[in-house]
Amino acid sequence: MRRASQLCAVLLLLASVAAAADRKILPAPRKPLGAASHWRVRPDVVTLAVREPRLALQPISPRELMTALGQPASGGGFAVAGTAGLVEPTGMRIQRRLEGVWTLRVPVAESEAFSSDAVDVQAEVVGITGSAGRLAPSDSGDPEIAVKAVTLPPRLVSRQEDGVTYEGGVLLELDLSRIRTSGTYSGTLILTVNHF
Amino acid sequence: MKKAILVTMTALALAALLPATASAQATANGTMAVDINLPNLIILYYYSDVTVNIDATDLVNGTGGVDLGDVTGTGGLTADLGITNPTLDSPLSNLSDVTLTLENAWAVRSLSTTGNVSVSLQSDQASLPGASGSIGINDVTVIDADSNSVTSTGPTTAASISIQSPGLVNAAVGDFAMGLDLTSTRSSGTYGGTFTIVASAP
Repeated sequence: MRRASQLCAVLLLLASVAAAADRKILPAPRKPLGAASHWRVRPDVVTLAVREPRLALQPISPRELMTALGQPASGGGFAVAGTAGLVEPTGMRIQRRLEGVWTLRVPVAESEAFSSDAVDVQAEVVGITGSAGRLAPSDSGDPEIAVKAVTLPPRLVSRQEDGVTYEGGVLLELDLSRIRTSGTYSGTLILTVNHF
Repeated sequence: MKKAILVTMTALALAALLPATASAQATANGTMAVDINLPNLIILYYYSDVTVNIDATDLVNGTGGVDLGDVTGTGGLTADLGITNPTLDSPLSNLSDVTLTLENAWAVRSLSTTGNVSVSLQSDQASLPGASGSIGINDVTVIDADSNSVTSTGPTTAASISIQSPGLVNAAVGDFAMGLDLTSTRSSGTYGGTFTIVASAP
């Protein structure tokens, strides 16, 4: 039994030494079939971080809604004389652009071979009710906001001795055409970073 | 010794698998809670000046309601002069209770906390003065798109109806009506007054 334990320990030691050697020495051009030229990038050491655990988007103002409706916001309120503004708007969409919402940290050992072209970032919003592509109100009986999330291209923000940092953003397009109630709508932004 | 060599070879074989694992597609996930606040918003569409022209024919032959077809306004505002007792041969004998309905007189778009919005109408005076005499106001009525209605208890009290908040795209449209008393109306010409329309979230 003791002999078996020793054997396992030796195996693990040798494996880790070989893996470390692989990281450090590996410029050998062993390009796997079908893989990108950045295959040396080790996914287990590239780290993704989101800017903060909870993000309150900039509140939507009444004036912003009036603009989206094509209505002038004159006077102290939003009473419109006449019915010319009753024409149904073509869309009731509001955008929120979230810059630098995620960062990708690449150690220097990997950064030489790293390219942002090899990074595929996907974003999706899931409402608190579990509905994909939705922000949901606290009252589950009310309609939810349909949300389309579009990722912005990653960009290099810092290059330091110990590595490089990329950051990227997300554009959220909120469709308010079915919404009837005011208040807070909530969900989770899920970022998925694939690199090859 | 033979066993030691075997162990080394096995270890190297395991290590050789690692770059293949590393080169495969890898995925990292990050999550962030997101909140956004929508404001209370009510947009009331109304007519700031409405002129209804009533000719003698409308009064004499207006049994059961007549489309006046002569209302100053745009965007679909129409009016209907209804006589409350259609069995009368001549509406002139029932001039104490003539209903004037202004169709499509209001519309709202809204976001509200409760999902409901109220629309009310109130006359600012008990009668509409003219050159000689006046047109009395018995009551006012607010009517929604489903023909639900609420009538005031008096000439200068408000009639208020609650409807489901329509949201921002498809406005909710409704009518106003008022019960008029023409028995003290002695002169032709213009009779006028003001009415207050309020849209609010309860």
